[in-house]
Amino acid sequence: MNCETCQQLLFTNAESGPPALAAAHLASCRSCRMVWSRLERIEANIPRLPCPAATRKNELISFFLTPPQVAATPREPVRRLVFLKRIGMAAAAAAILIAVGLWLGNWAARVFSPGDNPKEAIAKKSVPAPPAEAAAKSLAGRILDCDLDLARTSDPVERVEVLARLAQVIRDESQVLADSSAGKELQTLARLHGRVMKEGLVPRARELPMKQRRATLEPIADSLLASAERLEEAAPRAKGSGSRPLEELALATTVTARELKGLIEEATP
Amino acid sequence: MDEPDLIELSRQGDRQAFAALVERFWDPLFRWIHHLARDQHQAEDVVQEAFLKAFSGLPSFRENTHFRAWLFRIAFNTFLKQRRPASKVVAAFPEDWPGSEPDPAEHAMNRETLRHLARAVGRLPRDFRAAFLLRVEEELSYKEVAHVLGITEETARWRVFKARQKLVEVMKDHLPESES
Repeated sequence: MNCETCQQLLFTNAESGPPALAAAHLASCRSCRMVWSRLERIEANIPRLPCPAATRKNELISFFLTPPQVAATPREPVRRLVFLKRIGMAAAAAAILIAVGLWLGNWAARVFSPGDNPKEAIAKKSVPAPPAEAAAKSLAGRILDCDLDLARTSDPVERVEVLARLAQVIRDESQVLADSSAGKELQTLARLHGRVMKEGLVPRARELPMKQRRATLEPIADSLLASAERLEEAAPRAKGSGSRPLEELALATTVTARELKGLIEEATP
Repeated sequence: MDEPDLIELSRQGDRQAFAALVERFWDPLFRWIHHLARDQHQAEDVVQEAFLKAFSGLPSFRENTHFRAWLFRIAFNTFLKQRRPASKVVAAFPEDWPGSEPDPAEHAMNRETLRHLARAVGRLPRDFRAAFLLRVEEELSYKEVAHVLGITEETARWRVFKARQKLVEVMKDHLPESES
């Protein structure tokens, strides 16, 4: 056995001591013994490499340990948002939203019966749609509204506001769907909501000029916290498998609110 | 409570059982993802999202599947999806990190050598680093490493092999000439 073969054996099978096949060569080759010694020391020290302490572990554990609160009073009707029709264009942000809109359009189309498209289905007013379908139609239209708003605006403040409204729309629709046993659709919405928050709202909020952060983000963060509370209340009442997506929505909303608060603090002298 | 019991209870929607799984797996998962992302906030985002996805996906978790590998795979896919530009800033080595004095343990490195090792691991190509750490620190089998990373077992072996080779080469000037 030569050194190359020996070291290949060492690097491939280092877990339980030097491989027996390499023993004879190791006994006679100082260079390979040195390689083995270095490898042993490296691997023994990997668990000692530094890593910062995680700050959100206990938060997540508490989230699972705390039973979702059940509201003592009947839930208020879901608040419906009226979208502003405004101006401008921000290519980067619009790309996310337009993609989201297209994707959601496809998703909504799948919810409708085969052969229908959302527009045709909406036109069939004489046939009442089941709740999940109705919500999907309404959502598709509202997402499109948001797409248009976002495509029209170049103002960073408006971009943040539109994204916050989009996330609110998704949360509202999720609560509607939660009453109709649409667990799979809810899961899809929870994922979509997470993307809007992580890839849309938070990055756009970071781009806001420092002097505009507090005025823009504070009402959004407060609204997010209130929304998270409503979702937490709604989760235990959701039908079927709807409670987990609502919990995810609540947590994502809380986390985003905290991130926005952090951005406000950054901008506070 | 044993891990399989916790998993079964979590599958049935028991939040406390899942909290115990978070307690058990957060640290290793966070540590691994942090080694990949080299950004604390991103790593926490990924790990948090991974646990939420795992909680939602538990009903479809198959018995006799390696839970750790399943969870790490979810986290890795989450990391890939929300990957941000890799931080070019090399994080400062913490002043209070253990190792400032020579450790009496047989193979323990002193602080300076550990710093070089941290740098060397950080400079490994990400794919090699991911496989190497799963194998060495998490002690996953090559089959499990392959499952987590979505690659073949042979590729997993190759990546671990290359990582070891590179580390030994890079570290040779920082490790004293001693034989085991």
